[in-house]
Amino acid sequence: MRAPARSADEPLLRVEDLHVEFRTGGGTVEALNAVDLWIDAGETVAVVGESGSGKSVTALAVLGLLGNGRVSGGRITWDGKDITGASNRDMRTVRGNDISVIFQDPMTSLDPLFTIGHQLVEAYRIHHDVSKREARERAVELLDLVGIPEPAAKFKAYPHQLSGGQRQRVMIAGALACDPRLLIADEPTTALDVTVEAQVLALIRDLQERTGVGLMLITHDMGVVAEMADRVVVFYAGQVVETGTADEILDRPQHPYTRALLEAIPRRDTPRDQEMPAIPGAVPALDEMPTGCRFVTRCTEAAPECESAQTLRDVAGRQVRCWRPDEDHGVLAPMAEVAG
Amino acid sequence: MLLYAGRRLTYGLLVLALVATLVFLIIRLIPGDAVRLQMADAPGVTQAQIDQRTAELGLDEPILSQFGHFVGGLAQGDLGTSFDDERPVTTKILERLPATLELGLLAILFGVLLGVPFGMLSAIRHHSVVDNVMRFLAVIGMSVPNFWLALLLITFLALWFGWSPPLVYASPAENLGQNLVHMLLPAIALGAATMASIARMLRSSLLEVLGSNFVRTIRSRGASERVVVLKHAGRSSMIPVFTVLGLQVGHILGGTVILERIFAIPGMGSLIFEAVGQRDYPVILGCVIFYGAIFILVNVVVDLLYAVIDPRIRYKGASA
Repeated sequence: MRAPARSADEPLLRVEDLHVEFRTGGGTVEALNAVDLWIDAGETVAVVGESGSGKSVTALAVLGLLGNGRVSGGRITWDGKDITGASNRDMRTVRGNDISVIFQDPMTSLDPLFTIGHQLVEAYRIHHDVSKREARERAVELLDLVGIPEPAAKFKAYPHQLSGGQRQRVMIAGALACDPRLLIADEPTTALDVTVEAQVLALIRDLQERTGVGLMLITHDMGVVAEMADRVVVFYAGQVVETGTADEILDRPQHPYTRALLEAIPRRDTPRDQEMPAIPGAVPALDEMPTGCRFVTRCTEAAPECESAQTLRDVAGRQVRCWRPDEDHGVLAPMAEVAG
Repeated sequence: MLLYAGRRLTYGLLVLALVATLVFLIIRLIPGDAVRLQMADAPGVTQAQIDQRTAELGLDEPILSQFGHFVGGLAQGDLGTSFDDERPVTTKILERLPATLELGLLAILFGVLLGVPFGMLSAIRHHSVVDNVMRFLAVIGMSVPNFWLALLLITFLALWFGWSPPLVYASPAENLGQNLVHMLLPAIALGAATMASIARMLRSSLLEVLGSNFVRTIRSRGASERVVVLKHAGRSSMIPVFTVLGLQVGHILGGTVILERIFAIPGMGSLIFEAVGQRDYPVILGCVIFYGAIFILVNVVVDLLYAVIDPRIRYKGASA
């Protein structure tokens, strides 16, 4: 565990006004539009939003792994250093070493042709100039750390010989191999069974407590948010629409989209004959984005003011991209308690 | 793994038996017969002499009984004797085999050594000018018949540089330099299609693998592109390339027949060519069985390589 060597006002990771665009057959589309977020050392920040809202793109942009996309504006600062548009060579010293990722699908995220031990040894040796034997010891230690039974024997196993949950544990082991300071978990449990999901989340939380690693948890499961997050960043259509502490967001959501998301969680006391609440419509396609508020097409409270572009405003100690709430009359109708 | 290998080999032998039977029947459907071709030009040949020769060659027997002799000999590893010079077919083939193997291996070498880097470059720089040029050339390489390419090479080298390949064949033992110079053009002509097929297949399979999740994982851990492409993606994209290579061996073997003829290389290809001209059934059969065996063996090896490359195939094979 490393001592946090930073001033109090300088977060581990800061993303400011980030714009990302992708080249497609019909020109470029903007996947991120002015994304702001920060993560402090050791803190858990949940990034929530529907599929395609830009959560994963933000993670990939931070790592410089956008493929045929590119950062077209804004700034990414890691530990006080500007890493926006850094060369692949420079980013390689950051990837896996300072910032690690766990991806969504453990079934396809490991190389099927190499043993898991080989892949862990490789992950460690990318950033550590040690002998194969030392790296091997580290790999077995990591397998033990993530709760793989008989780690020395499982070292020789191929990914296809492991269950989905075990593979995700191996992914976590690989991500933690070099003691990163930030772990990005991109929907780490979406592809897993519900029972395994709880185990993997418990493991991540346990490892975070032990290593003090910062966690950017990308999810669309508000239950997971309630359980894990210190702060929450809500994405909609490539923008951050609301950010605040987990308690504030879950108890008193300000943005109509956040409220709609929370209302969409089925609850135990919901009558069985009642239809599941859902947000009507779909996220507008990237090339037909409304010029004003991007949520206007689905918002139940849309008004003429929504036609103008909305900016993130400080409201009641957090940031909201909506003109409606203001500090004077405080918060909108409080939400009922969310079932954890 | 052993079981897997055993099963592949058994299938291979079955296919070979089928090939031998088919060829045995098909060559007897070719018009003209060996005896008449042998004696046609000799003046004053009597019907009795023809009948005697036919009986000597065993061609007067019913086809089933001929087939019986053939299978009986084959079971003992005896491919019979040539109608032409009465020497054992096996001896004739073994004399000619080295030149053909050399030509075939050179063609494969040419195809692999150029096809693999071209395919990789095409995938890494996909949709670039380099990629587009290579894809265009690959289509041409696959479509142009090898003998035509050989003739073009001969013609243009002669026209532009006044250079022609040697007319007299020398074995590598006699004169390695002259031998390699002699083999150069036919090997290029034969290997061009292999190169093109490998480049195309590797490009598409590498592109697919480079976009896969596990490659993203390896990149996310800070691995260099060299490790990503050569070690991880490269290994995963090899399977379809080996498949193509195994099939290309068939094209190359077929190509030797005409190319050895064009370049006067005394290999099995020219042996077959001569044998067909003379309806020398045992030699034709022997050569085809040999070619078939090489092709089948190569493809069994390719099947085994799948298992070496991919543990999932290895373990499935062991448990089945």
